[in-house]
Amino acid sequence: MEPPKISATQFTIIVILFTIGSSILIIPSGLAAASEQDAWIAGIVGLSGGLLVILLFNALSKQNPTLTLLESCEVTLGKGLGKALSLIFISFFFMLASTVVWDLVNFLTTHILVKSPVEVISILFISLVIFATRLGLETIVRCGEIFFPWVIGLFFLWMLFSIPDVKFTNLLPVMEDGVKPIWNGATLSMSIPYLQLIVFLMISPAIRSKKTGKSLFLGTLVGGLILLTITFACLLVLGVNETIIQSHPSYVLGKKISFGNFVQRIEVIVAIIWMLTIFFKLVVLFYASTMGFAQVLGVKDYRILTFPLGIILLVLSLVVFPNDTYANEFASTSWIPYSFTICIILPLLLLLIAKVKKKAHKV
Amino acid sequence: MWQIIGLCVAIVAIVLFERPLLKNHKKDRWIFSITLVIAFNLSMAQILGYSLPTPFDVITILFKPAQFLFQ
Repeated sequence: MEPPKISATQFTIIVILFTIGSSILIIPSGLAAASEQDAWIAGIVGLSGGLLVILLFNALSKQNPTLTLLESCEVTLGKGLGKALSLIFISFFFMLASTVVWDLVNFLTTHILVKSPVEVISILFISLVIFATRLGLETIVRCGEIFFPWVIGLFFLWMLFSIPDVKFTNLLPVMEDGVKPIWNGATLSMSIPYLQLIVFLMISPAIRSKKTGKSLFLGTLVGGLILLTITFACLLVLGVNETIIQSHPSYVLGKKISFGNFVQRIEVIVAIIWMLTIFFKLVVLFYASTMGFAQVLGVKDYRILTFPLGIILLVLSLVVFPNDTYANEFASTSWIPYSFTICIILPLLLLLIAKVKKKAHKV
Repeated sequence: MWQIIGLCVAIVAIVLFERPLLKNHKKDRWIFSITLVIAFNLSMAQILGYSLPTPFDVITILFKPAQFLFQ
């Protein structure tokens, strides 16, 4: 198969959609639970930490610009060790994909399709993802280009309508319990959208221009600012307590909006943004894990793996979290050290080994 | 019952659909069959109501010692 080719703008757009996807409804509640009314400070710290991690990813991709993350693992560490490390990365992508499916299904069965069976929604959505993955990366990013203006436009509309309900007293008192809650919130917000961007190291060799690092950075910055705005809006309009209680505070924010007693109940706008962005997040994750699996096993055409992996993803998404409480508990405790290990420590080690190897070759 | 029939029909349909891609590659055929058998077994277990373990239990055990850094 021919390697896909995408442009830098398309890459930025898909990074933005990935960053917003699935975090848009979850992160305000998680951040508020961790650091209460200082959630916005934690969001800012998390975004700056995320941008630092992006610099690390860029440095790693500069070592072997033409190879994906898993291929450069094999080049740096040799065949056996490289394949073992690749499997760890693939399992991270795949489990992340299953949690994304779970998030989507959980949201739909709580708020919109209350009586539908879970399996039907998952099967429909995963079939769509398999279809998109089989069509290839170029089709996915072009589709992203079409939907991007809609996401941004609806987002601005939503934020505009929520301005009249803003109460700045909700933010007080600032830093009541010191720095510790902010650290909790910052690590959570780093691990939920920003560290997951390591998946783009699987795609970055497909970009035609040389400005891969710049577009990854820009995309993360824009997506992070959007997430920050949403956290702000939830805190300012709903207040701390309601943001913590709701599992999807942004959706409730959409319900609350009443613009001049005329524009009301615009929660479907929020649901549209969520559905579009989560689709791209899931497609990118599924594409990366299928491609990675194909590379590790030495399969000629990655498309033959889409159906079997899709079925496994379906089963995994049904069993991954037994209930809501487990999911919240897991996301705020074990998930953070897990993603820090996979997305910071392992890439740092890879980078160090690659640098040492290059120096040894020169001498 | 109808879930099992549906699953079998889906598996047969997938095999028929993928046949042109698998024609000339022996290794691909093996990998495809093995992954599809794993997928079939997992979904069969899910349909028959066995409680499959979640992989996150393992991660919780592995990363419990490091949690204090982020609390």
